[in-house]
Amino acid sequence: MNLFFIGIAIYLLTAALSIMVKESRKGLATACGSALGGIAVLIPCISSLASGESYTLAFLANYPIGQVRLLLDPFSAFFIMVIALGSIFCAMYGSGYMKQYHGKGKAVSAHFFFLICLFVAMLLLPVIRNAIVFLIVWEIMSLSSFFLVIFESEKKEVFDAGIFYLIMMHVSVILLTVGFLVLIRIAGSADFADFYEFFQSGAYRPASDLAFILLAAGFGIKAGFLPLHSWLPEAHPAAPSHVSGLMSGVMIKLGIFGILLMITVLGVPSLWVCYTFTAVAVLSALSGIFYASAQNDIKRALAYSSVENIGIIGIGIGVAMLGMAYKSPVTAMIGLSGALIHLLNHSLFKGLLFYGAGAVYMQTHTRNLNRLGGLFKQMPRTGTAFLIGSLAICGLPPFNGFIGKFLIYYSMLNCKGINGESLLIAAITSFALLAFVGAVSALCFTRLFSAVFMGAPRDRHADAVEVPLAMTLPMLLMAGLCLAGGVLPLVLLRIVEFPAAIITGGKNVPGIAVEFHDPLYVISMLSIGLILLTVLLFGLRTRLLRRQPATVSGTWGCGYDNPTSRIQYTAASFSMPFMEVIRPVMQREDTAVGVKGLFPLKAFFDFKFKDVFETVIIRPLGQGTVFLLTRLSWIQNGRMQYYLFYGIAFLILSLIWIIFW
Amino acid sequence: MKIIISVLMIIFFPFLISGIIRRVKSVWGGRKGPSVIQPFFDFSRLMKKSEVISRTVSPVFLVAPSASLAAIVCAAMVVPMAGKSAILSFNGDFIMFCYLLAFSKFMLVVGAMDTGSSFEGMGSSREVTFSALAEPGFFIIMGSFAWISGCKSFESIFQAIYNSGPAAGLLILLATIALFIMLLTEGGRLPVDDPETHLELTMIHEVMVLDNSGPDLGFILYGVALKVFLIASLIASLATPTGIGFAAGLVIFSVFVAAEAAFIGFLESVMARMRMTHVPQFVFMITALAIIIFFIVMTELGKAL
Repeated sequence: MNLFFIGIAIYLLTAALSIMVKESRKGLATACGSALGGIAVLIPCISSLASGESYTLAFLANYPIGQVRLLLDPFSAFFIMVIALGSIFCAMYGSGYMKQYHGKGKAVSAHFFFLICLFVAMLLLPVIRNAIVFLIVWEIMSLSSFFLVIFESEKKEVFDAGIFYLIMMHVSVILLTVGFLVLIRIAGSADFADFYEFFQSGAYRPASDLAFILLAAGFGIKAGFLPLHSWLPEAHPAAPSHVSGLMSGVMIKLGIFGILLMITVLGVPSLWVCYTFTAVAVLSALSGIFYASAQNDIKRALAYSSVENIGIIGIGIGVAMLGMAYKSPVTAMIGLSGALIHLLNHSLFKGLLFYGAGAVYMQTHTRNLNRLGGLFKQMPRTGTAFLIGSLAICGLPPFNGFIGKFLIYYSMLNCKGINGESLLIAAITSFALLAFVGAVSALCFTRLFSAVFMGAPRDRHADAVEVPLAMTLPMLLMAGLCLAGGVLPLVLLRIVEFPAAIITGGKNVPGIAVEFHDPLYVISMLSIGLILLTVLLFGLRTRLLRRQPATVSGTWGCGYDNPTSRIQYTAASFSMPFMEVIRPVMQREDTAVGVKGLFPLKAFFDFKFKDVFETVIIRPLGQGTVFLLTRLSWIQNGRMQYYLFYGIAFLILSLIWIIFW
Repeated sequence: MKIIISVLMIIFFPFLISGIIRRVKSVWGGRKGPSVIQPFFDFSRLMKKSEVISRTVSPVFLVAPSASLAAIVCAAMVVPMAGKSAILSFNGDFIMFCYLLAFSKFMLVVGAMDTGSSFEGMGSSREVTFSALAEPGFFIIMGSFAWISGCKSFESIFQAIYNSGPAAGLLILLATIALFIMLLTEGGRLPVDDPETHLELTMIHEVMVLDNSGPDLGFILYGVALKVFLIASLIASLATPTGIGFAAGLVIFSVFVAAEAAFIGFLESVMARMRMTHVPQFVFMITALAIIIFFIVMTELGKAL
């Protein structure tokens, strides 16, 4: 625990240092400080994850807060590990990425300051076990990330996205506050341990369900569950790439942390809540990947893919909740391990993909998939890392993404015999849809990767070169971790073993070892086999071709002799057949000026896919709020007399309230 | 012994299957046709050839065929063959099987996109679309089978499904049809895809490999044939009765696989390729059949509860 606070102190010192040093050194200072602080924070976490020990620290604060308890148990250690890893890579990459803004009068100093604020807030959140302090730190996290998003605030779309993000985060905070107030009101204390004593037995069922729904909605906004996901595709493209990588890889995971924390504190909610949660998760995964395949902006596509992955994590949590509700610890344990492993993996490969997108943006100044292409030859290291990230996020062996998905699938196979039909129907539906999501994500990421890195450049960006080492190194390290997780799944399992046991409450469940370890052991063998076989076949191929020099020629155009890079299949056309198949659920807006007459002048065709949830839910809500607030605007009329009257009225009313209640 | 036979089958059967399909088609068409082992000679010829490489490609294009074939070979490890026994078998192996095939597809698609040819882009786009539609059905079938048999690996599920109650015959029949459609989709056969030609805008699989040549093309062709063989052996070992001994199982299995190959040849002789817009409906039949299977399983499990 001491080392944890030393780490936090190093971060804070770095924040001060980053303000003082000159602009060109700020990035370096932040990177070094974060690396040092991150390692200091990681050590106690790893020891806690390895031994299952927990460390507590408690002190009394002033009246409304009460006792503040800090707890570093394997559950919080797991999340701190994800955050610390993410922050180390983010700061390293950021130091290279921000170089392009040096000397242009940008608020680089504030940027690095808030970046470290965000690190510290995120690192502190998992250990806090007091509702009020939790909310305060939560707010610091949201605000500092808001300032990071609006770094390029002179651009209108960036600023709008930032404001949208700010509003969504505060809707989330309102929901959280109300939820926590319900709990504090019943338990009479803001300490999570008191919540646990009151609610674990399920005695306060309707109230605790209500609180769970409110809190899950609040945390769900942060995590990006449907239908509250729409800030992700706005804020991620607007933010600088290392920030989007951090937000998407790490920050939204704190929403998941919150939901898991509420499960440990409040116990498993009623069955219908569990089923609804699972359904929401499945829908998030499905529509996330549908929208991701439709986007033409690389960072928007990645943002929607985060919605998908959060959905997959949610499916694992949903299965675990159902397993706990039906008293089947094995199912719960496997589902939750899968969810946690996928969470850790997603923080690696999603960060990696965003960093790759950032490197591409830095070199080409565009995020439009239909204008990129052929960058692999110019940026081989970024391209390799991006390819590994894409393979991993599709859940393909031998990379880490497969392990989490496998365990989530596997948990559903264990659903037989626990309960009647309803669970089986839920399990088979999510089983099949998860498979569908996996297959569509293969479409989505073959599309992303090939549109950016494969083929010939569609636009002129011949001057694109490989990005500096400060940016490629974190990407390659993360790619290496993705591969390591895939070939050593038992290490991943070891990491999540204690956290999953804490949440599901099952410490020594009989039969767990056989259920888990054997398949993962064979998977690891097969993954290694796959890598070796690939090397072997490639070696064979090279050997066969050694004496015969390859003939280099143009791409075979089926007889057409004069191809240009513009006749390549674009990203938009790549996903079109699939979009036609799912036409009923994807609203498309076509704008076309067709060819008319014998001598046509000008014709163009454009289309975009609308986010149904945004048009159906978010927009009307926003319009409704604006309508309501304009009706109430007479309250704030700017006359001093009225304001004095409000004050007096408030005092009198509170006097009456105190006297009569 | 079993493992050696399986390995030999993995090496030689894919060539034989392609040979049989070709032979049946030519006999049906009134020609004599090449020998059934001709695909093997084609393969060794490709291995000796040099390559023509496009100016556009990056190293990814060169690695893709090897990685793709490696994944299919790894997937072959878990598929039950003669006597319903696989080389490797573990709980949940069918999930790994699917994802290994997906890995191989991913690499091929990326490699095809690397050439920058619009034809190959078109083929890739269709390939990923149709395989995405085939996936959920397969998972529903395997999930339902896992529940009704109480097992979680290909090998044990296929062994147990025979004794899973009165509906077993019906389940196996439906699953066979569904898997056969999956075979046609994944293997790029008629009516989903026409493996004979690539000079049409309507092709899927053949058009993706336009720019591959030499050993790479050999790897890809063998990989596709191996994939056809793997799904065919899933069907064969699902339909073989249990408890008949290894030697009899081996004979029945080989006959089944050969019969499937002949049936594919027959289908390709009498059918035309579907219009591209109708293919998704055809592929979706897998899911429809799978849902029927699931409901049967539900009723069976409901009786047991």
